[in-house]
Amino acid sequence: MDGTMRDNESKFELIEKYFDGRLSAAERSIFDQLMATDQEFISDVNDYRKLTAFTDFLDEEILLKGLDLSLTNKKTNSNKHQLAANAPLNQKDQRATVKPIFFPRRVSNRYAAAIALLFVSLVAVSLMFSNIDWNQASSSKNSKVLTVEYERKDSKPTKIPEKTAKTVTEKKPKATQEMAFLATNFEVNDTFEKLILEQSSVLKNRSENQSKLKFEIIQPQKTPSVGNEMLIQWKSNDTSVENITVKVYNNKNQIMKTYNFPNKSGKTTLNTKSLKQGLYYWRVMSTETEEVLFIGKFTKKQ
Amino acid sequence: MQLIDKLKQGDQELLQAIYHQHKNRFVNIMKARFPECDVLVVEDAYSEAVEVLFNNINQGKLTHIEQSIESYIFAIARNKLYRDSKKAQQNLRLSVDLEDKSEQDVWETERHLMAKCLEQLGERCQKLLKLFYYSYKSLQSITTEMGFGDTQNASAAKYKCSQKLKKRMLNEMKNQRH
Repeated sequence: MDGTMRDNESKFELIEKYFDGRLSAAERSIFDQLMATDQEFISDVNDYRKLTAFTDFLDEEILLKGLDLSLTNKKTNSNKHQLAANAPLNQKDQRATVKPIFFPRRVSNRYAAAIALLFVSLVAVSLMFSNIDWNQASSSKNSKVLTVEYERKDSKPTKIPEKTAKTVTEKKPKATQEMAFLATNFEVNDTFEKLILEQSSVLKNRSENQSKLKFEIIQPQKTPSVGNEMLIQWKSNDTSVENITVKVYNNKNQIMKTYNFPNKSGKTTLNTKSLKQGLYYWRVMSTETEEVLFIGKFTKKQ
Repeated sequence: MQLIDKLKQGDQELLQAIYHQHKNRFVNIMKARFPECDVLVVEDAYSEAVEVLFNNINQGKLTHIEQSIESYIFAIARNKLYRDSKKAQQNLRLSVDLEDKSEQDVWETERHLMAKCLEQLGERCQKLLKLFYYSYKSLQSITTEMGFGDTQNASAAKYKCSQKLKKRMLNEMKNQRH
């Protein structure tokens, strides 16, 4: 009985530490093991997550009262509703109506989507018409005339030029399409770029202060263009990092590859053969704590 | 000079320092709350929260720090993540319309459970949490009312009492499962 209680206590402590971000590497490994094998523990973690969301909600309604939570100075509808959501039930215990908080935002999203759709349609129509050589079509003796008669009796038949075989089948060359497709693979990802910029500014400040870096990438420098493999070399002054994880993302923030290495090794080669041409970002993290140690980018050539 | 005054004067270095000081801890904590969220999304929410806090200080909407600067940043960022996450849209979100009584408060179960478990806590914890959650008293006034030396002590006591409460609530939930 005592043993079970102690067991429950230590499991609770593990969950508590996990939600507070205080798990040591050893505790983390026990936690992961329990999550993989103990169904009861998984349910406890899920319940605790729910409870945490509830207490977060209670804390926020007090702490954030009166604050403007939007980034812009304009008060948006969603903020108004968010504050309303934070309001406590009244003294008569009248119940709250559950409505999606993002309703106003969803409505504005719909407007935005409609405008975007309209814009895309306009672009598509203008592109379509730009492909028709009107002068050639009208001056060509061989061009046929298509007559469209409307059902209304008072309307006159409208004549529009029939597309010639050339204009109908006229498409952008395949190579151009491929190039356009490839170009999207090289578009920069704003979030990653922001993080890289932030990192370089921190690195710059550190080197000015001559302080020892916790983790340093020696190779590659800047943005290399790689083929089927990329050599990376690093120097780590943090003995607490036993293993490192390298994650490779495409420019749409999708994880393409994950590699694990012992931190001591100091150098390794990433296999990039299966990656398509494009811009990629890579992130080095401590495997144990998942602390991000470095963010870089590279381009994959054909 | 107080931290808030320095920020109001546009001390960018201080803002940067605050940003870097708490970032990793925040990401670590949020990974437990939002396991489905990408780290980049969490980091974005954190950056936005720092900016929002700074704007509120500049606009005079936040004139004194009730708990810690960290607790404000975390609460703002957390709030954003809850709002943005799909789960939040399905389960957590409401706007309150007191005229319509047909629907339930999504936290109704938790509120009942909380009321039940609060009664099982020691007198001092009960009082503290009831003052905070039910009477919406600030930590400053709780400090005075309950004789904590300063708000830091009150905040630490509130944290410990909340953990005790959560533990009891979790046990209740566990019993209900069986």
